[in-house]
Amino acid sequence: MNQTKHSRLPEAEGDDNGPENAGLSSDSQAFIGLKLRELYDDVVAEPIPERFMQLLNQLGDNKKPE
Amino acid sequence: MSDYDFRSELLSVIPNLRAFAMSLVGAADKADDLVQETLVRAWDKRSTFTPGTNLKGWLFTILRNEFYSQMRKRKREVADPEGAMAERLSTHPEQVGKLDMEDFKAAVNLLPDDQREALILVGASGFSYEEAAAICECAVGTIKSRVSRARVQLTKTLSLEGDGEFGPDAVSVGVMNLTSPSAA
Repeated sequence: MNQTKHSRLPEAEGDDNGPENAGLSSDSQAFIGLKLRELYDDVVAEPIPERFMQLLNQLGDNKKPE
Repeated sequence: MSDYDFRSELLSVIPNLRAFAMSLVGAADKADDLVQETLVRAWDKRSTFTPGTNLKGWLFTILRNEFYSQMRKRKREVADPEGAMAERLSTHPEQVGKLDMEDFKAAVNLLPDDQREALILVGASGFSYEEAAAICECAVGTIKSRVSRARVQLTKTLSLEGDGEFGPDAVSVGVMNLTSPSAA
């Protein structure tokens, strides 16, 4: 895989660098976190497509146990 | 766990699987194909799942493995090279203050795959660093490093702070409005 290093910060791969060490302002971190969740939750909130209901119904024994 | 219960559990995780798949492949129809493949595989190997353990993490692992095995078969198309996107973003300074979701999504899509998935797993899917490391089959420190670098890269791509070309003030104000209840 052609993995390029985008960060120019002097941090080593595998270092125990938490996000708190990224040198970013808390505003930027909060903004990114907020947008990220919004992006993700938009998809989570969508109704489950019919194809998956059909698929689950086709899988194995469909009867509710006694 | 009965087949009936297992199916109910699968159903409950589908929305999260779809969101994770979308973050990996971008296109909605391809993402749902990936979820479908994941559900079929999960069903086939349901006897290997230990009831009471983390089904969501188990399913994410299957989906991720499926994604990368598909990737190996056909290389992912890069629709918008990094340079082009960075250029487009930087030529619209008037949008910086009200960065819209499409721009944010584009910036996330520019991240290297390993950084993007780490960021999504920890920052959006709600997994701990330890759980994300298990899903990605790597060290916890590696996940932390990837998340950190992803945040730095996003900040650069979106010009959230730093070089002062547009000035971070507009974005800062926007963030304040979004995060501070008292700013209303």
